[in-house]
Amino acid sequence: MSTFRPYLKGAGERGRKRDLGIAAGFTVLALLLFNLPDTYRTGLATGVRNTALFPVIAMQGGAADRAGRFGNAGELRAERDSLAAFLVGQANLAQENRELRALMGFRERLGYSFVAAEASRGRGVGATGTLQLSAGRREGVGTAAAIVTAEGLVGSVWRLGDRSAVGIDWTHPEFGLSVMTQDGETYGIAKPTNGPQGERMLALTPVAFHTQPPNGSLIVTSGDGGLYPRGIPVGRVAGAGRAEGGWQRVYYIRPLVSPAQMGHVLILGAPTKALTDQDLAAAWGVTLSAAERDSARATGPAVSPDAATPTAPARPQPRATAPRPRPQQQQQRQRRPAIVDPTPELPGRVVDPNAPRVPPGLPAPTNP
Amino acid sequence: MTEGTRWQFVGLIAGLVILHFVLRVGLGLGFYVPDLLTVALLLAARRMRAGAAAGLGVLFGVLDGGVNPFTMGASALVLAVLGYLASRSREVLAGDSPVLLVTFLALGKYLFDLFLWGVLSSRALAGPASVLFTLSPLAALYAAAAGLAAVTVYRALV
Repeated sequence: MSTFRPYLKGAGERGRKRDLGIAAGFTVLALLLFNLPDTYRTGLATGVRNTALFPVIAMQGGAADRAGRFGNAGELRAERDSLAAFLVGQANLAQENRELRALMGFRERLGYSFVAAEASRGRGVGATGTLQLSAGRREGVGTAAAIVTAEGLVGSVWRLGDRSAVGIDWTHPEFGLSVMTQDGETYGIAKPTNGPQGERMLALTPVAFHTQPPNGSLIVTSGDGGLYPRGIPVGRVAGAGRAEGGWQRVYYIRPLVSPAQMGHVLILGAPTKALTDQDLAAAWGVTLSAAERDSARATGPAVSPDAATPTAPARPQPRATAPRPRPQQQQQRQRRPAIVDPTPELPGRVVDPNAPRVPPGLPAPTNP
Repeated sequence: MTEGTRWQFVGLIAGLVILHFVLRVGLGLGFYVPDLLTVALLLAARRMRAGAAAGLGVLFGVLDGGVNPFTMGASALVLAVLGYLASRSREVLAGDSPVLLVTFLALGKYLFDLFLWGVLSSRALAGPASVLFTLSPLAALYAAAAGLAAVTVYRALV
């Protein structure tokens, strides 16, 4: 602490040269720090967070909870009511889906784990587009996990701590993802850029000339690369930009989640190999018309859209040529309309949906 | 800024640094809180040797990099240079008037943003340059006002 002195001692040319030398040494040290490999710089940042800044980071979670207490009660109530209505409407569907999956021998559907977190968005030089997240490894957040809201994609986790994390949103220069149009006709890479009016947007590039997504069409994640699961809404096409080299087009995408909507976010569970085959579009009510085609393209053999592997052993396929029907069966076939079996790979008798359902052992009802 | 004992001044600087992290990170107020870290460095550098001020800048930069990993190293470099320049500025900007203090702090904060933008742009991490003309001047004035308030309270207490 001897450096804190009201007035300089040892000033003069000699003292200045010594100060310059010391300052140069610290500057070189800072330069070395700046040019360290990313792994070491991340390790140093994590070390600082876990030691000197630990009390502050620990406070961050409590602050998020306190901020939640002062949330708009009316808005929260409306969201809860909407969610309840949605769940009631989906209950029967979920039950039917479970029964169908059990009937077909599919494993239980792999669900996504969402971790709710508060996000504090940075501004200013060097902090624009960064998010301080109030959840970390202990809450189940994985490295490079996707950050979403009810509207769509926000960004991804960049650096992971024990109880907190640092993320980047779509405005950050490091952000980039592979996207596609909802119909699967146009694929490309979306990166942040300044739009025609100077507003921050995403640029979809490169897009071949023969595809032309109309304005307003929905852009979702394509799942290529494995970083983001497939089907998360990203934004809508806002117009075409200047062509690059004459062979490609650039389209501006207006993201669905504005920076003002990034206060409360959901972080997807840690990416696994299976996630790239899955389709998250249904969670946002988006139907991908190209889902099956692209699943086949990406994974080779046809799999179910949600890629759950059948657990039942492979069943024998029906023979290409049906056995010759007996005379009694032939008469019944003439009376009944032709029925297309919706599940030809399943063994068993074809069921006529119009035929009356009678428990076994009871006579069939007859019309009076 | 020659009032108070050495330890009282150390308390002021440490208090500003702690407030910076508690308000910005701990309470999640973020950009709504002025950059008290830069203010603390600028104030401390006025009473320190230039070499030590550069060292303090590196220390503050490492702490800042803990919060924002993208600026780890870059902010240390910029704050080291800024600390050195702030310490040497005594030869040019003499006196303790509030106007001089506000000018010194605002200029220092703006230079910090400018240098940081320049360093980060070498890695395409700086973001749009428009920040330097919109947010940075406001942030500089905000930091200067906060620094003036802190010094006024300090002078009233010691």
